[in-house]
Amino acid sequence: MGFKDVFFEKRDFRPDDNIFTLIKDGWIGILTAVIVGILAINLSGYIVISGKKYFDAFFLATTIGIIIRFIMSKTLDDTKFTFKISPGLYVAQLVLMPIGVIFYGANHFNVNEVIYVASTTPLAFVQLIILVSLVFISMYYIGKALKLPERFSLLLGFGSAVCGTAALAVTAPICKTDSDETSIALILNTLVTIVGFFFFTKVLFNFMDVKSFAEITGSVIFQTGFTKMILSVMGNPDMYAYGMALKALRIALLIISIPTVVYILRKKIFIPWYMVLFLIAGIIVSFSNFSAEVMGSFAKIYIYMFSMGLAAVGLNADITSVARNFWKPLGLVVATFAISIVSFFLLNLVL
Amino acid sequence: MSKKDKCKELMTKFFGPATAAKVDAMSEDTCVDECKKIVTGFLGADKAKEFDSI
Repeated sequence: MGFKDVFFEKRDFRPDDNIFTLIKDGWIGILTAVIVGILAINLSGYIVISGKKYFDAFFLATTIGIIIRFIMSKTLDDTKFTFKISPGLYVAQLVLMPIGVIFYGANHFNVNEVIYVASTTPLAFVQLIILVSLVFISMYYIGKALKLPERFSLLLGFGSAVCGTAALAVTAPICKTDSDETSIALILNTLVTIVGFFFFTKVLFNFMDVKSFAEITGSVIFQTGFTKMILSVMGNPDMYAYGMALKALRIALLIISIPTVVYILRKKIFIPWYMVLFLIAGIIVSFSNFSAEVMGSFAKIYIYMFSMGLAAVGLNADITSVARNFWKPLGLVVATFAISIVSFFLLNLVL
Repeated sequence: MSKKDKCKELMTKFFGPATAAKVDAMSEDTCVDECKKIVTGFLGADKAKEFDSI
């Protein structure tokens, strides 16, 4: 294995063609993904229930993609769709996801927050690392008991342990899950987070002091948007910032968790080139002084890239397969979520 | 490696992983012919020749 193989992987799909040829040949699929992705971003701004946005653009892009594929398969010739549009959808993922990952790193991987948490609250830092590891271990072994593919269990692990739908977008190409598995993971992640939102704000908040509540929210809740909504219930800016710093730390742990999971899956050291750029972009932004407008533009770029990439995932998914294979992973995600909450309280007693 | 695995590998090369998953629904006996027919229809007979070695 050469040095280059640590960062670059030979493509299974048309390995001899360059990316521009692939884009030229797959333009119909790419355009379809772009349109659905933009539609999802715009819709996510309108779906507001009691002043809260429960469905992000990534979830909507995937589900709209699945629905459109279902309608197309009923109205058009499915064989034509499969062989004319699907290759372009795959190219869309190949091109858009890495760009999204790099800008996601620029926006969310903050070295200062890692240093802040590690130096000011070392016990919370240790507790978070134990919890993240525990989620992965539980996912792996319970997933194995449920006879789910390793790659799928570990993808669900990223969604639960790290950062919800964005983490799923980052890690799905690395885990090499198929479109049905990625779609299930995204839908499940959102549904369980919505349940978690109500459990945290209506039940847990009434029984916990604000510091512990910020810690459990920052350490356990899946999605950044929901973490913000839950933390804002406290009405305490310092504890809000503390909870968000813990959440940022979980994203930073991608630097360790991705190579570890790749090693488990493929028995080789592989750090995708775009994860290296994720790290570099995060470091540059952490030590620079970019304006809010520039940071906002970075966020927009990754939201657009992930939405369009996940629209391509949804457009490639089979709704009947998604529905049929939904229940075991649902049990797995719920069980692991419960384990992480119980473990948080047990660790609080020990540490 | 079974015929289906070989077909899947070639279909991945031509169309990508989502489309190659269609091979799962084919039988071991007919997958080569079915794939060859699809590749001939969409990409031409030249590309379909790659299935002759299976």
